[in-house]
Amino acid sequence: MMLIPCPWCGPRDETEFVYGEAALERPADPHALSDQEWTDYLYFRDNPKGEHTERWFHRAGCHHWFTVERNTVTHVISAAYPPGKAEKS
Amino acid sequence: MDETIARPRSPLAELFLSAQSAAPDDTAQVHVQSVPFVGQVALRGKAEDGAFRDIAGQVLGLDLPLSSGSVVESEAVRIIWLGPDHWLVVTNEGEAPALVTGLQEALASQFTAVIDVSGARMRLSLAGPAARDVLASGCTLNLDPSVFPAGHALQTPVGNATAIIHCLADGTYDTTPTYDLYIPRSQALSFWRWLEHAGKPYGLSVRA
Ligand SMILES: [Zn+2]
Repeated sequence: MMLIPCPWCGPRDETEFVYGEAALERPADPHALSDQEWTDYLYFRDNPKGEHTERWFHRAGCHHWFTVERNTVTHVISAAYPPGKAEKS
Repeated sequence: MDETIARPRSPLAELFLSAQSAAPDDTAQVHVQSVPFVGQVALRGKAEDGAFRDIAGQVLGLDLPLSSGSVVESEAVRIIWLGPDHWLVVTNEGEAPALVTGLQEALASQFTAVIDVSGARMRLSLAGPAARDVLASGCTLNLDPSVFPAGHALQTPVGNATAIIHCLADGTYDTTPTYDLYIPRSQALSFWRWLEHAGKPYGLSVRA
């Protein structure tokens, strides 16, 4: 069980949240992508052992999405911030 | 034309709580009161939008609370922070429609939403020396008065429902711990079953 620090509500139990997915930068111009690049963006994800930047939704609290930097091995959360702030790529 | 007027029905109607409340148990450590009909308005807008805050504050007569856990109150309304762009305005039964009209007219040129959600939740008032212990048995938040004092409200799962817990009195200074719970109507009956179970070790009594 993790304590996840919602940027607005503070630390809450993991059961209050829904996991979204990896926090990816959206392609600025999807039409400029090849079919392969678009497919990669839509369907293929890294599965890192270690630091991962991802999105969570505070379902049972403030109903907001936010970004979390979590270590997939230790589950240590090093940062959590509202979406749109600078993110690691 | 049919003159029958649809009357609101408590989600707990089938429990016949009024019969239970006829003989309250004074030795019980927790007393619960069902308040099925409460005026409620969902107010959505951006907290960082000063014009929105000013107009909403003028109509409501109170500045919007801006941080997690915060509540402001007047005689007429209680405003509970639910998120960075979401407030629940609680008022008396039947007063929500006028409040919605007033807010909508005043905020017409703003990027906002004002919705009558009086049917969304019912209120249960929980009071007694063991009120906090009963809540804590079904909730992962720390409800100690040092971090969740009187005047604070938070939305979080309690038992089997997603509740808003508003602490009215936290037990310090000889007060009786008292909490208002706002429970989604559709979850009210199963929440009541959970509450009966959770309150059993302390004695749970129904008050009119
Ligand atoms: Zn939150």
